[in-house]
Amino acid sequence: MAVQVSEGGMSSRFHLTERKREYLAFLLFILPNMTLLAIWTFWPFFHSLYLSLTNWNLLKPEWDMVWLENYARLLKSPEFWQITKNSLIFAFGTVSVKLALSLALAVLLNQWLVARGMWRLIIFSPHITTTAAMALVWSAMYAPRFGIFANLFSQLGLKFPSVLSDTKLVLPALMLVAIWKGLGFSTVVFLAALQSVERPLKEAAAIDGANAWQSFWNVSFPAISPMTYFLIITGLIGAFKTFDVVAVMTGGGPSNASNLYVYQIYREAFGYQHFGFSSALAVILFVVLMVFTYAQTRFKGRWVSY
Amino acid sequence: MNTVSSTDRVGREKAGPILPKFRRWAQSAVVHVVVILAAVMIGFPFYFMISTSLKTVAEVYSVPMVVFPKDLQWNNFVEVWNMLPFGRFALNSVIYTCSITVGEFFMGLTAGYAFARLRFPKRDAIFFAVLLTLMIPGQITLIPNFILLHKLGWVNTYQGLIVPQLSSAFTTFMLREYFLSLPDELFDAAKIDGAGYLRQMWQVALPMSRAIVTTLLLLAFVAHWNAYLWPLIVTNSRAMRTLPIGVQEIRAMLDFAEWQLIMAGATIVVLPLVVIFLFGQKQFIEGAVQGALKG
Repeated sequence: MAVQVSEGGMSSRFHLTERKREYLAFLLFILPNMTLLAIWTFWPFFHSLYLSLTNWNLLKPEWDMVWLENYARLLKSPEFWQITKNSLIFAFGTVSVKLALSLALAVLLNQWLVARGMWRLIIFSPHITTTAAMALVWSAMYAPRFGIFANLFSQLGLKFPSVLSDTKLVLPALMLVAIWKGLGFSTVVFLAALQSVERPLKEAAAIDGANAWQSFWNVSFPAISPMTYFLIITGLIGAFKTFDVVAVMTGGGPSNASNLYVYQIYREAFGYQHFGFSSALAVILFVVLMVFTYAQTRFKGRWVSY
Repeated sequence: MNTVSSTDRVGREKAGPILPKFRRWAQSAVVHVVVILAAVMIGFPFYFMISTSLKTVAEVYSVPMVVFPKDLQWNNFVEVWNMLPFGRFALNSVIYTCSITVGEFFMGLTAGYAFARLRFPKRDAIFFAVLLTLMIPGQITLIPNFILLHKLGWVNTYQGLIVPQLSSAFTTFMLREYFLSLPDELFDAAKIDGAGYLRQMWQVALPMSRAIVTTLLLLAFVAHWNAYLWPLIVTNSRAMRTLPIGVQEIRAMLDFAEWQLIMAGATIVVLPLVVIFLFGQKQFIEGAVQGALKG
């Protein structure tokens, strides 16, 4: 009792200093993180907006403000529109196929299965592997004569084209790798969402005479639709940031048929030293990503009670 | 209550049209076949990688494909390891991955604790600034950051690889959310015992958050181990390359693609992850789901 009284007296007498000590602790605790975020994220963000208005070059000491010339050049170049088209096809194609397949897989994994944990483990595993290394493996599997696809085709008496040097087939070939890589993540998220659909809800549907298909569309699917929306948005954002597969498997070729935004940013800046021009492309990519991020925050506001 | 509803259900099932046992069995069989087929197809690239890494050149190029190599060529691993400074790549990868994972964690821990548990004027507004950085992807800041590294003379150095990656808005966000959910009484009790803020963070908040901390550390480790773009632009000498970039050099070195060596290299890159994944699969899968829920 006596101790309590003295504690209370202390804290009221030193109230101000204690408050100040807490403020000081707060600043010290956030300082390292905030400093680094300011230097390596906030500042470079504004710097890249600025650079996009210049013809900055690492090798040349003098440079000029060119204002919107980089953007004008970009919008006039057929290369930019080719890469935009590629990125759109890549993003929407990968995400739609991936989500359709992973939803089907999640529904199957949600049934009674022997060794379910093991199947889930295998299906999830590509998600954690090194893309740059697995892209080498896919290059070998796509190889014209001895690759696995060439072998399967020759079993059927068909000739497997060399997909990575074919302007029509190269993008779908990279999309397949991205689908393989991302399938496990969305499957596991869908599975968790399906498992959270309450049993009584499904039982009630069964009692009402709903068949499995009706029960899925009318009970399970509405319950997992927030997840679906989340996976679509984050999938699109991720797809627009794709770099590793392009860099390792094709270098954007043949003739830009598999070139995507981030690889082009990399090539313009670190291949040709066009830092200003490349920054303009980065800013355009940022705007694209912001559109998706905005859609995602909208979704968060609506579904956060989940 | 429970028993009532379950007997009720059984009763209804009996009354309704009974699904013949055979149909149910057949359905389950189809489900099994499809799932196993999917797992085999998804797992196949791993098998292709490992089996090719153990083949002879003749086996690699034989048509039809050699599914099971006859004499396992373990020597391929020795050859590829000696062909390039793989030891150095691995060391660089370990230094890069571990220092970022640990550093990022401590930054996120202190900041997350402060944003959740310490009072400060306009605290939540400052936190909003942290959230804003989540929307700025590394692909956008790549060029300015490289220019800054260049000015600092940090290109092709460990500090250049590591320091710009140390801060993490995501870790801060996740830990803040978690620390906010902890009961105030715990911290009050520690305060009465005379614990300072550092001890409250270390001895109260941290032990309570073991599960999420493990998940965050594992996810960070994998993400940085797999990093490709950043180490690619920051390093320019063989001695500084990390594994994912170093392994690409095998292809450049060989006159014709000796895929058994390239696949052995790829296996070396992926193997540590497989080991970690097998031990921490629960955390990985839960981490994926949690990340999705929190968004």
